[in-house]
This record gives sequence, C-alpha cells and structure tokens, in this order.
Amino acid sequence: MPMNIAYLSQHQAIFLNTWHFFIFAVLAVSLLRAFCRGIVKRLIVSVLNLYFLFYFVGDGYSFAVLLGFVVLTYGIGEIRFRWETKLPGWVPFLLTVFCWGFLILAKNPNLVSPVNVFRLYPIRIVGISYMVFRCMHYMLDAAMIEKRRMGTLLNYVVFFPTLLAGPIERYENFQAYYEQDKLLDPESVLPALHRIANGVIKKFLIADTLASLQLCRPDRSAELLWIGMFLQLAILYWDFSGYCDIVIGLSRLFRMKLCENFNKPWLARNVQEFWERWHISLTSLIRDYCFNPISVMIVRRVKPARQFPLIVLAYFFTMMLIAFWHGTTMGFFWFGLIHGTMLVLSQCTKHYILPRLGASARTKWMDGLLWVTFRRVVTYAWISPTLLLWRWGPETTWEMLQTMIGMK
Amino acid sequence: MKKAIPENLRVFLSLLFLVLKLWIIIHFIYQGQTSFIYQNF
Repeated sequence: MPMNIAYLSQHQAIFLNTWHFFIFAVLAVSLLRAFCRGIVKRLIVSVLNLYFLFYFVGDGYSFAVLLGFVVLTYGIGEIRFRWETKLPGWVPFLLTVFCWGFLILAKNPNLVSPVNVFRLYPIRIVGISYMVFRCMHYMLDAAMIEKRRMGTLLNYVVFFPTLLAGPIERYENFQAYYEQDKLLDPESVLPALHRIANGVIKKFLIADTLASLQLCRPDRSAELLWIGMFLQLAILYWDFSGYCDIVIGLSRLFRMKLCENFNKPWLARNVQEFWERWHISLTSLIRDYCFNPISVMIVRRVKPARQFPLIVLAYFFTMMLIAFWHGTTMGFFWFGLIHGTMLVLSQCTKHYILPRLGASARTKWMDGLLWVTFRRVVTYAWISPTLLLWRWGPETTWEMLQTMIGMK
Repeated sequence: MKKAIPENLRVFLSLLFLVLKLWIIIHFIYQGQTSFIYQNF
C-alpha cells in the first residue's frame, strides 16, 4: 500500500480505537494533570513516551536507530551553537539534504538498493517522517536555542500525542511546556473534551464509514467513480483533521497547546492557498527550511529581471519535496508534478495576468462572491483526482479516469 | 448592547452538547454502523 496516509490510517486505526490506547490516554491525562510541574512531570512524560514508543510504534533495533539519530541531532546542535560563526554557510543546506536523504532512504529501502543500508536493515517506525522533521528543525535552529538538553530533545522527538501523525510542533513550544512549567492552556477541560469528541466523530464515524463504502475502486462503475473521486478529499480531511482534533484535545487536557494543522482547506481559492490551509505544520516547516532559503539566495544573487522564473521553479521544487515527504512511489511523483505545475500556473497568473486587469476589475471580479465560490469549487475539483495517484499509482489512475469519461 | 450569556448557562449548554456528541459516538459504536469501530472495540 502506498505511503503515507493510507499506511498511516491503518496504524492510527490500530492505536486510537483500542481500549489499550483509551486506558493509556486516561492514565496519561490523570498523571499529567496531577503532577504538572517540575522533575516529576518530566519523568512522567519520559516514561509515557518510552512506553508508547516501545509498545505501539517500533521494535528494539528501529528504536536504537532512532535514538542514534536523536543523539546525532543533539551533537550537531551543540556544534552549531558553539561554532556557528566559524562554520561555512553551506552547512544548513548540507543538513537539510542529509535529513531528506535519511528520510527517503529509510522509507523506501529498495531505492538505490546497492548503497541503501536500510535494504539490509530496514527500520519500522510509524511516524518516522515526523520524527526526522523534528530533528531537522532542531538541527537548523540549534544556533538560536539557548537551553539545549538531550532529554528534552528526545522527549520532543518522540512526544507521544504527536508521534504518529503530527502536528509537527516547534521545539520552543515543547520546551516551554516540558522544562519551564509554563501552563500553556490552563482552563481548557470542556473545550478539550469537545475537540476530542469532534475528532472521534470526524475520523471514526464519518471518514471511516465513507471509506468503508469503497466507492473509488478500479472495478467500480463510472458514476460511482465520479462520486468516490470527489468524496476522497473530504474523507481524507475528516480522517486526518479528526485525528489531529483528538491529539490536540488530548494534549490540552494535560495543559499543552499544540499548533493547528488545518484552517478550513475547503475555502482555498487556488492550490497555493490550499497548501497554506492543509497540513500547516508540515508546509510551514518546508517553507521555512527549503523554500525561504532558496528564495533568499535567488533574491541576493540573481538580477531582479531574472528572479521570477527561478522563484517559480523554487515553488515547483518545494511541491515536489512535499510529495516525496508523503511517499516515494511513482504516484507521489506524479502528484508532486501536477501540484507543482498548478502552483507554477497560479504564480504566472498572479505575475502576468492579474496586474493587467487593473485594481477596479480585480476588486469587482476576483473578489466577488460568485467568482470566489467558483474558484473554490474548481480548486477542490482539481485536487480531487490527484489524490487517486496516492492510492492507486499512475497506471490504475489513468484507467479509472478513462472509465469515468467513458473511454473504456 | 448585546447581553452576554451567563457563564453557568454557557457551561451547562456546553456539557449538554458534549453529552449529545458522546451519545452519538456510543450509539454508533453499539449499533455497529461503523463496522470499523465495531470490529475494533
């Protein structure tokens, strides 16, 4: 099954709707509400994280590799903090490439198999993409982090509520909760319970029920495929945001406020806005550590007249990275290619066409309710078929599209 | 000027709404309408 959401969904299901997880969550909340300060709290968080990691996530070997990666991250952080001014400017770039390389090779052991060590020693850790990205965030920001502790970093990387599918919290936020005894959200029991209930309804009642109908399968009729295709994005939203609701609600119960991962993605008027509203913690991290450095380099080194095509290429490249973060199959490659092309078209429209319309025309047409609604519907309709690529790959997706338009 | 909803009433309504959500969840679980949950719980 292609990575990552379908794969993730399988595992989330195993974890979140078992009595074991329920009892674990109740115990965690009770302990962390009772002991919300000092070394006792840190000890409880550490024990809960280790238990969750061992029992729910991976085997001993995978855990050892992960621990090694965290130790390496800490070491790199120390070097960067102490000798930041003496290190060459390309070090952040090298670290970014290293993290991406590790992630892609670990997730796909058959990729460049002669030199890929994970082919012989595969690691099986659910949520590895999230953990590697937390490490990357620490490595790249270490020069600005005053208090760096190995224990805090380890607990940050494997923090159990966000371990499986994010959101990818920033280190400073976790540190504020873990070390500084800062109660980030003290009055939040009732809203938190509402959030968890909303999450359970969205994920287990709506998303799983609709997914169990399996409307979008290659052997379905054209009519069902059309309905299934347009439902896919909604199902994925209810599934993933429902999961995030449960996690955010659970964290609020022990007084930690996690960042939001979705901001009404159905209101997006173009692909760029969609990615600003969808899986925000991931896209903001990739924007900060991949897109922004490339853009700054272009602005500094290239003449203004030649900057736009290169910035557009940077958008495309960033989109390909987002696709590869989700998985390394051909389906994800085509997904990145299509979304990247849509981003390029969106930027070209902004750069070449909109300025020629004039301010009054833009206000009258582009911001009018009818036009905005049309753009939202078109964005949703454009993105929906690309999700078929995640699950079915390019060949089967093409066959399904042929069935839908009556060519088969 | 708009009158604010009294705090106690707000909390009561919120609790009521939460109970309703929990009832929906439990109802679905025991009815087995989401086969997924039904199999796992």
